[in-house]
Amino acid sequence: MNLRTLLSDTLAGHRLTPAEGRRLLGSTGQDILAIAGAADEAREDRVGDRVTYVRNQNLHVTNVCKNLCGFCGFGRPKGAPGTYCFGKDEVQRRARLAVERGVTEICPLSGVHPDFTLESYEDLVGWIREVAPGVDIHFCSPEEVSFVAARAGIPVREVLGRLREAGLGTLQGTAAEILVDRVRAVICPTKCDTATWLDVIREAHGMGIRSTATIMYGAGETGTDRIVHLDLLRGLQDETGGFTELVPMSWIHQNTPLYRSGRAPAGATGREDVLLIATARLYLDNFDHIQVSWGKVGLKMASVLLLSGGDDLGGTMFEDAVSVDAGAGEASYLDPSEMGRIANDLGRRLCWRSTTYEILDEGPPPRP
Amino acid sequence: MTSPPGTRPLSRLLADVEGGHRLTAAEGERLLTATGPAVLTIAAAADRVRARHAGEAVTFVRNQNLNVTNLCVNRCGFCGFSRREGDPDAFLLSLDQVRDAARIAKKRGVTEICTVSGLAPHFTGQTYTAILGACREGAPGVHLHAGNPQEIAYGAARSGWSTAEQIDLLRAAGLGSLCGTAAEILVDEVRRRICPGKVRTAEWARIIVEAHRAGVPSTATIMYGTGESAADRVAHLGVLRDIQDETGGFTEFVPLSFVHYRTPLYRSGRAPAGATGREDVLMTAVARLFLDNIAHVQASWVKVGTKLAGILLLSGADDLGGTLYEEHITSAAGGSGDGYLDPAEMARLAADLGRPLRERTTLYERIG
Repeated sequence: MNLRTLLSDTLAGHRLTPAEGRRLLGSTGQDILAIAGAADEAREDRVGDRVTYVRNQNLHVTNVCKNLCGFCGFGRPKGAPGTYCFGKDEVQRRARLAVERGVTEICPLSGVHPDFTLESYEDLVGWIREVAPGVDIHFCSPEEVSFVAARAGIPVREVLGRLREAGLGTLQGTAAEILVDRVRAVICPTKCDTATWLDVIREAHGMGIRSTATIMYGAGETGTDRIVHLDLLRGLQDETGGFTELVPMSWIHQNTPLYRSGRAPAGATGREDVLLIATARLYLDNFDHIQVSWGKVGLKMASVLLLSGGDDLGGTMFEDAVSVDAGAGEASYLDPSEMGRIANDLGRRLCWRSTTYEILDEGPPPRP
Repeated sequence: MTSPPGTRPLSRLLADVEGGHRLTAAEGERLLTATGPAVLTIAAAADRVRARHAGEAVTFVRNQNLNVTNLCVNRCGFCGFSRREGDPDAFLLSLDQVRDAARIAKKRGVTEICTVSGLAPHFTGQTYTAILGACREGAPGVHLHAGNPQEIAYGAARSGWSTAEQIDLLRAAGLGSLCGTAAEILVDEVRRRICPGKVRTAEWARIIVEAHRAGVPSTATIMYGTGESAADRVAHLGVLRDIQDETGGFTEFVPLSFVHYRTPLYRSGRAPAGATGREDVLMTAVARLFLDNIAHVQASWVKVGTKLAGILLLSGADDLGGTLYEEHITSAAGGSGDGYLDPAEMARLAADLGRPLRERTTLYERIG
């Protein structure tokens, strides 16, 4: 089938097969712009011309991590110089600051501290809820959930229930990286495997706890790996409908062991970034939202990705040591007025959303 | 995108341009202000024109920048590089140091040394020829790409001779080609705001024509994104196209996206945070379509980063510029993508797009 036909069939409702998705991801030359254009049309059909964002704050609790994945420049072993682990006072001070800034989401983003237990996570959630009531606490990846479940020797369902009781709002769909065990064995060998990741998410969605979905690409996996990953997400979304959005995270390579030791390329190229977003938009016909992660790709590419199927600019963040430590140039705070400039520059409207995509403010229409 | 009344639809305009129609200023402005899917349509047309005029190869030059001094009598608001005498981080290389730097560059196998400097208060016309002389002594046989209309006007005025005489002296000292920098935006109203101390548009054009007529070719540049209008950008392209019709002396067009972070213009709120990704794509694409008499359009990875550089190579650009072993002007303004780009990484970018990478000389002769 020629590309034009495949794209128009897809826009008319054809569900892309893995082989077709693989073909889209492998495109070069003029086909890239044609695929981006089709994804832009699919975005328009599905969610209209809104560019959304969430006022959120990342909150780093600790950079001590049991995993020390090769793609990461943030985690450090316990006891190493430069490590920190905040207690109640500091966590609450930061959470209060976030509330003063008017955020609707607090997103703790931390290493998986080897000493953390379910009670540690319950405490953290509780401390934040105490000073930030009403704010969505977007916390805990399947890796963290499965880790403390195993430590406590209790089912994942019980862990999720207790976290929700403590105040958890939505679950982070992180630690997905690439959901192919052969790839995980290279880039994150100590993290939970693909089946466990999917089980935790399935369990959470079944209990009414929604989550994001993510993909961390560009560390040397193949196009087929990326499609297998998207296919698993699509299959799970068919089952549960619990994913709020896909967050494609382009790998920041500079200060990471994988790159420095020559075992991974210098991240994804701009072509790969465009095609990942565009193919995700076309492949994930059961997802409403595809995020453009400005902290990973920079603001210029963010504008291009919003023209290639992306509809969301993610969060204001205020701090992102995970990206900065790995070597990202622009990753700490993006003022909504700057987001507005990028959206309006494309002739689109910037809208403030909640974590689960309720529109909180439609925002002014773009000036002609 | 709907067509303005009385104009042809975008697709027809682009087809006409591909068929040989020369864009008018009004049409160029219309293309530069496109939003939505039209952006990708314009990029695709520019890509086809690129394939026809410049072929599939992505070219680059092995070069080294040599910044002799950051002392400058000018204080352009878009610049974070210039310093005054007595500033703690002011520097000025001696002729011996210039010679040594040139020697090191030659050892690295560069085919071009590009010397760009500030306008130091004590420099005269002879200083610029002495710098070229030191470069030639240190790196005999290496192409010297140096000066610009501003430096020529300054040197000539300081020594009390004509710009034609200054050009002759530089050529005698080893000048191979002139940098087409200091063009910024060739609209006097904009120059008064962003670089009031620099030569006016007519003077810039007069000196470039003088150089071309004397057998010294040059690049052509635009420094965009400091808040000038689309009409200003097109007026600039019009000045360049007219000169090229007259002399044929431009080797390439180099769009330089404003790096804003540490510049007075941005910090004082008089300029936006640079161009958006959409503007970068359209600047490259429209330049390719508008400048029907300039064979090459460069994607400046130093200014836009390597991810967007990949996209610009899909939007009309055919050249990646230089390897640039040192470049302090972008880093002084707060850019993070500067320094050095290994030809192996350039080859990855090109291959990723399905295009071969070829080394060229400054004047676009093929090497190897």
